[in-house]
Amino acid sequence: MPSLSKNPSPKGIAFLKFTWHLKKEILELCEPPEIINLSLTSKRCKRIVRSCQRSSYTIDITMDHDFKIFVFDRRKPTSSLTWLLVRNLTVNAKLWDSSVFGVMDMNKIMGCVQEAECLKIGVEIINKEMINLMQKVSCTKRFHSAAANTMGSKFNGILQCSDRILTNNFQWFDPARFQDLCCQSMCLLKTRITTRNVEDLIIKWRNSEEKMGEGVRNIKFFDVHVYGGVQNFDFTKVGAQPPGRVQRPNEYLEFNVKYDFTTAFDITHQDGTLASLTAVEGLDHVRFIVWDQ
Amino acid sequence: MSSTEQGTSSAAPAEPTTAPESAAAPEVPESFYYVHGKDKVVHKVSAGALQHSALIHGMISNLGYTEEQAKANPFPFENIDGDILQMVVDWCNQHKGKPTPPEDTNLPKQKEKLFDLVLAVNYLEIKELLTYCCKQVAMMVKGKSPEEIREIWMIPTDAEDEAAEKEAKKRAGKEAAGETAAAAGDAK
Repeated sequence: MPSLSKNPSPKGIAFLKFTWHLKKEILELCEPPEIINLSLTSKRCKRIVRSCQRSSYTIDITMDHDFKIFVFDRRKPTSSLTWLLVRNLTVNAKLWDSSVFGVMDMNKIMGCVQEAECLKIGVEIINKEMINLMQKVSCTKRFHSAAANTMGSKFNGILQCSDRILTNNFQWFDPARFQDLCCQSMCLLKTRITTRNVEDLIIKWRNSEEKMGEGVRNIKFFDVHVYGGVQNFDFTKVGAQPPGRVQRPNEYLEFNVKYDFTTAFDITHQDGTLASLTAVEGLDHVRFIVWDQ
Repeated sequence: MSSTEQGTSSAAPAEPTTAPESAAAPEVPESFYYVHGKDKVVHKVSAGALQHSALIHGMISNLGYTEEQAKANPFPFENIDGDILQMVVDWCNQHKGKPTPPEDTNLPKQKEKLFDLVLAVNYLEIKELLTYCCKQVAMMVKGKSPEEIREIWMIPTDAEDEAAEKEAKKRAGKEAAGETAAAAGDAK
């Protein structure tokens, strides 16, 4: 039987010679700074870190006057850390207790971050740098943007958020991709989304054979500011019926706002789920709600 | 085979601090097994201590060896260095029948020993000890920069990895060519 020991040199410990299972076990016991630092040592280590993805990390990114990446370790809240990504593309990484542990290259750091649970834009303008980051790092749960101006930037990716999209200006988003959104709650202001795009999404929802909570059936509520007005919205095309035929609530509270669905049209999914749809003329908003069974 | 009896042969089981009030259950004589590593030094270990190792526990659970049979058939672990096996046996003896503490500071500090220990413990499937060892490996890089981690964990640079990959490809190509030539020679 060959010897287990193949450690060639006494000066260190040959981490890469461990089996995949052992590497994973060791990385599970490392803290976020060490994991990131390891992934910066070589491409091979970056692949290893990726393949041993830890579910216990939450990564939030805030794009403010500076970029901040907040890595939160659910198991050890005290070891959470924030990276302050400043404009000169260096990174001051700070532990939760404010002790700086190093300065790193921002591009390298961003190369390690693939997902963020929460992506926040806190500035007035969305610039190219932010769009690039959004295309590179997929936002898995919540996207909040306070920016009112997009400087004509266009986003070519898909927003994969599962929980919430809240944005003051959504013009950077390709309207043709609107029907690919599967987020539970969406409030989208200033968009390039037309009535046709909204109709397509609702038809997709109505015909979907997915289970509740999966794919397009994850959508619970949206309020979309429609480009070009709502006067041409085709309720018949999406299979909506005038109100009064079914009993349902008339109001829905979301984002701390009470939405009135009294005069909304109703749509019934093939599995019996009831939804309501209203087009608010003047404001050019289309609102959609899936009622609880 | 040189045979020295070590481990639990001299270690008495830990005594409870307070005797239970109820009548003590009749004592079952403890069974012992024997293991040896690459150095052929035989270690006598109680079945209780060996329970830490899922591998050995699985092997012995259905054997029903008598003391003589066990002595005559030590488990050979030729792939584990004698001193490493000694460490493992000592740890199993120390933690026999005891709840394992959250930290263990008695692990070797030398990096090469720790590497071998991790492999041995992983092979013997001693879960708690493996966690301690992995924790120690993880602690080595705590607060270190990428360059320091590279040194401590002996991580080659991208250039070194690429060179090694090229070398491996070249070697594989040569071997494949050699095999083809041999096959052609056989056909002739």
